[in-house]
Amino acid sequence: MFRKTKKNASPLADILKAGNGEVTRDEILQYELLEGNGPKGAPKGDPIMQVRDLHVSFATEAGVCRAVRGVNFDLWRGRTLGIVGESGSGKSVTALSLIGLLDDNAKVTGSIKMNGVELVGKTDEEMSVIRGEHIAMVFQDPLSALTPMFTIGDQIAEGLITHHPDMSKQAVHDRCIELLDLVGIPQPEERLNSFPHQFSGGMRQRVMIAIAIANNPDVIIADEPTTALDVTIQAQILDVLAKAQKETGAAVVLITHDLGVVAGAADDILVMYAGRPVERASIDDIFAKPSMPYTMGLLGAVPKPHVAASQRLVPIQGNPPSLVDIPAGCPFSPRCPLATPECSQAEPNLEVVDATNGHLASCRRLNEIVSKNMKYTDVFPVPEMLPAKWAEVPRDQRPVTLEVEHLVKTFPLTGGGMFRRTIGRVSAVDDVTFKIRQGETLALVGESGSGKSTTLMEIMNLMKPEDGRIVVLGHDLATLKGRGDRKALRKDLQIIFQDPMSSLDPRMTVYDVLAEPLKVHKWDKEKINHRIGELMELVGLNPDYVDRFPTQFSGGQRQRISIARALATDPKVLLLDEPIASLDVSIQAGVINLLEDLQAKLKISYLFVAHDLAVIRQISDRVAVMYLGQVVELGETEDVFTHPRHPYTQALLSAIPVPDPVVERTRSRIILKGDLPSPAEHHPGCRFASRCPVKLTLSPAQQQMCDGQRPTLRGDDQNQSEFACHFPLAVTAESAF
Amino acid sequence: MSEASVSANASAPKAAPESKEGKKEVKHLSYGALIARRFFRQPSAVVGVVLLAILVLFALFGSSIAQWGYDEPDFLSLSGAPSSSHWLGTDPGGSDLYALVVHGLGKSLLIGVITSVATMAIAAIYGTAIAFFGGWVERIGMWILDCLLVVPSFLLIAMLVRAANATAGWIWLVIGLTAFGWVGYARIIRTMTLSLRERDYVKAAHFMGVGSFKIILRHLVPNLASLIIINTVLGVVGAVNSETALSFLGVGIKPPDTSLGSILQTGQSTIQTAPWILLAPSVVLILLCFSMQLIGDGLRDALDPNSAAGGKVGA
Repeated sequence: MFRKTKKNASPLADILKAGNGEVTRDEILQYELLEGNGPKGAPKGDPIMQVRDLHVSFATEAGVCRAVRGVNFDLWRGRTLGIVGESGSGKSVTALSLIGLLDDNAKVTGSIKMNGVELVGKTDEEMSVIRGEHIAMVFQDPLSALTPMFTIGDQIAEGLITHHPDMSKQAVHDRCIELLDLVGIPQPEERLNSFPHQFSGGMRQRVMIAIAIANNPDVIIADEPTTALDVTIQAQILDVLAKAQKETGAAVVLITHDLGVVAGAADDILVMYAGRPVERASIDDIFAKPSMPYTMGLLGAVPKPHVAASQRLVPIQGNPPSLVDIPAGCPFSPRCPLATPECSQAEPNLEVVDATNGHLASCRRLNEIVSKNMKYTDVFPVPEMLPAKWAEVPRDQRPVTLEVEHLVKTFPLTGGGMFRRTIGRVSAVDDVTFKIRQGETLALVGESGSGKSTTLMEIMNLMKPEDGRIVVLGHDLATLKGRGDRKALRKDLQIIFQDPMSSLDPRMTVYDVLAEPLKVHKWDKEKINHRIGELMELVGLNPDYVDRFPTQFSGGQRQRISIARALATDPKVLLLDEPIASLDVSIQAGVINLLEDLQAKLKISYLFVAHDLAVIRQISDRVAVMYLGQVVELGETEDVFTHPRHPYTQALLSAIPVPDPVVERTRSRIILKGDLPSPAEHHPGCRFASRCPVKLTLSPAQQQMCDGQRPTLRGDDQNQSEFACHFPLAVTAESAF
Repeated sequence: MSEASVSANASAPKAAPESKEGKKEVKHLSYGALIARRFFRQPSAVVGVVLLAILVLFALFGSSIAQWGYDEPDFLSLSGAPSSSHWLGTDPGGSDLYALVVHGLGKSLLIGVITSVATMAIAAIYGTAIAFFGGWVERIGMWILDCLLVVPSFLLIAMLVRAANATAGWIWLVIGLTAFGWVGYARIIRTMTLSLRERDYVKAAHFMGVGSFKIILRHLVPNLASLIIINTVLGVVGAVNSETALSFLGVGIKPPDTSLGSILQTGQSTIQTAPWILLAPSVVLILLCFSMQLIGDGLRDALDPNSAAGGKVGA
């Protein structure tokens, strides 16, 4: 059966390989050939894939969802096209239509030509010959992209044998090892027989890349390949992807919402909004001269990790439109500060911004933007600066609101069987120390598994910690007696969760959600009513919406409701567990600004947990860097970002993708080896020793100290920061960022 | 479910539009009013309520227009066909079927609804509570459930009802059916709660200082509402069925008391000669089940915030 399909379709495969030489030479291609402001210069030769006027729509119960509306682009071997957009902009659907993996209810029109052969309208069977052989895909979530039932070796071999049934067993085996070696998996020979669950997320993504490049494809589609990964792992994967591209010479389509990732990895950029391309240019042009207001807004809204937060972020008002109900005219016009009544009449097409380097953008007022050389600060109103934070009372004189000293939390590791014997302990938090003063923001940074959330839960539980000390507003948790004390303290200590979907009870209206904390503290009805109106205005929501259910709000609005609930009882300390990680860039900026405003107004202390260092530089005053349950560096944000003292902080900072292609190209990266070690292992010495780049440069005696002696937080006279390292980096004149 | 919506009803202020403060004051519709509005928006739910209302009124006041009492046999008309004096005919003992159906419907409704609501209330609170508290509470709670599952309930209920006298028999039937009916549901609800208790809104409520019992009633039980409602509705039908089965074996409702089940039992022996005896109670039983089903679906959609009712919030 399988052989039969192979035979039937083999003429197609041959044509694809040779190409029938047809290239659509139109205006679109002409402009693309001019895009030279990138690291690789202008594209040369004929494109391998041409997409013209691609439309994809789905029939849904709510109506026809027009996910992609007229996308055009060409792909060249060896070049990377970055498709950027927020969720729901149609970027993933575009990618899936290239490889023919859309659902059956999708209607695809237009043309996708590979080497001149039309792919739209091919059956699934015909496409399966092309998939994996000519076009390969790397998916977002490496945890679900591999079958748990088969070994890694089997899964790589599957792709090879499907397309090359005549390959010998030995040849397949050798190729698998070669591939694993290429993507940087140590001991490939042995790892071939491992199952996916024995690999970490980053390792699995490497395997996915290995499978994708197994047959030397012409096009690799990477759909948010690093979104699910930590920042240091992300740097590794982007590296592997670049290497894989070099090796296969494939064209890469990189789909992402992260402007930092495209800045370092792409040559050309296509910005999508509501299913349509709204701007296209080579990488440097997009970042230097964005011309469509949406692109400008997106670049303005993104926090920059490489510069000090001198300016506030500029949010884009409103929400992206629903694809079922796209407004007439320019879909961005309801959110665009430049919009005129004409903008809602007809949808503009891509027009030329700069003919010499093929920069195109779709905006009705493009001429004006180009002739006046408008920047995003001209288009979007920049919010007022915050009042100087320490103006009234200097930091040292402010009361400490939250203090954590040498906090320890371990979880028992139980064996199977009837009695669940404890066979070991996992230390999730091991020596966390920090202090927050009134009106100050402390950011707790670290990769997943470093114990950030556990620290928050330990504080919120208000129980005596396993070891160490937690002091909330002067109350040592060890001395709290009974429920009454705790309840009284909860009024002043509140938390905001990461996912606004699950932090609001879907069965309660916004009114009930906001009233809940007030009822606990025995407010009367009239006061509650008054307070809820106040809260809704405070977080920028219309008070008339109190009778709606949370599901009727968008992600950003829901996060505002969570913030309103946390603020209801007027707390003094607010813990924020990745509050903006699940929001789109344009929405993020609005929430960050709201948090800053609230702090300035209400003098709340924030403990801000995040893995996104760019956001942290924007919002926090001080930073505590965590690694495997320990705070390894603690200091003023500017000190930590410019002069990291702990080698881990330095590596973390160098791994952040910077949304500026010029900076991105000139930066040198410290790529850490391997993954976070298991917290169940016992580390007598420094926990970072196994991955530390500095340790390798030390003498054997010093290395022994790293392995055998646990460093604790200490400072020195070089700067204000504290660090847990025996051999800290020196403070030099040149800054890390 | 019922107690949850009642408590939400009671705690939400009854529409407070005293807008003295101007725009800051919010117009607020109470939770109960909101659910009612969403419920009555659905035509099928309205049909269900009307049907049930008719049946309940029939059971309550049907006897006042009857010419015969259910315990007054007419010995001149045994197994008589429907006529002007006996509208639905008589059974082999000469009792008027109309009077029997009115009384039997009332009894069955009473048994079905009380049993089902009590069963689900116990199951919901027990199931969510042991899952929410976890640890030792959960282990002991599960152990009790496992022990109860192996008790031969049918036999015990039969013995209970037999020991009681004729008038109090149905109360003991309700107690017996409830006491052994909730165990299976409690296990299901516990499993569903295990995932609910990890949700952020449950943690958030805990961190606000909301008491454990209140969290169970305000967050856990309402979020299991669709499951609980469907089970309550099917539970009514199930309880009526159990009652019928017990009556059939002669250990359920005892004469002169009667129920739909015992009329059906009489009817099935004379299906060849007097089919009207089966007809009337069957039609009433089917209408009862049908109306409960419609109401159940309507309530589920009204309580489910993801259902089609209500639009989106703009900007």
